[in-house]
Amino acid sequence: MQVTRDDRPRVSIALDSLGEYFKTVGKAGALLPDEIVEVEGQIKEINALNGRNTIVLKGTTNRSPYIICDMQVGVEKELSLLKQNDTVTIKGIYKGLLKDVIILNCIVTNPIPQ
Amino acid sequence: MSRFLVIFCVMLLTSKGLVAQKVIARQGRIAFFSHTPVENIKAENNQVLSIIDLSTNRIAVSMLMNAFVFEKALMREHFNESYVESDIYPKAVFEGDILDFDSSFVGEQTRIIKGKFTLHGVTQEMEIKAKINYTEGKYELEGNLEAVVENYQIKIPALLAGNIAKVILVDFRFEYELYEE
Repeated sequence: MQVTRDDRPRVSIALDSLGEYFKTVGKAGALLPDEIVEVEGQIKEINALNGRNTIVLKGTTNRSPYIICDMQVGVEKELSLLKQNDTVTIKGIYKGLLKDVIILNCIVTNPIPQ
Repeated sequence: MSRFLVIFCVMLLTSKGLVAQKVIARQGRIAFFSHTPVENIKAENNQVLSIIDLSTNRIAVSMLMNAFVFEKALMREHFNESYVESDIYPKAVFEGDILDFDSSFVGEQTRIIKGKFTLHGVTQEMEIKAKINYTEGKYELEGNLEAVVENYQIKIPALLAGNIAKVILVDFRFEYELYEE
């Protein structure tokens, strides 16, 4: 399943509540696996581990749970414009929570890629 | 003499502190491959969690079953809904010990990991051979294993029995960094 800019997220989570959201509401099951979610966060790191473009987001504190966003194919140009500590909004398919939150098929929705 | 004792105690505490560290891989990779004359099926999960406690050589691995990525959407649907029932059993978990593991050894060592793997609500004892490489302060662990489908009470409909291998080949690879709890 591909995520597009037009897909409406089931939940949008702002930067200031990102850290707490998945410790409480998400764990309680309010957000179900395979639902589209939009999260605002600060970029902790961008990596290409296992050949997958990934953005790891953090909330206002540098603490787990982080948000591991596995990016959709074709976003390489957008990624090249981003750097550590940038604040971005990412939309993708929520898969669940281990130590960190896992979101697949991610796209950047803000800043809007030029 | 007392100065010597203080230095010795500091060294002891420091080395113990280092040994007591845990390392974490947040983006481990597990891939599986099913080969039959009818079709080949492969999938990978690149968000597998693993933690090693270097003071005890205990290792834990946890993965979300619905985070496996397939080539075809229909394969993914069958896998999650019919075979591993990921809504009922969302995670697979391994817990075990890395036998004779020297975490201070710089370079590569091949070790047996002995533990219990739980998939689809079924727990099986398992021994896995793995290569562990420690260079520049980072640990990498990789290896492969074979998993017998029927050992995990995964039911394949008769109609699709020819499409799914009885033994699935599994590859894994983890890169660890220091874990600050």
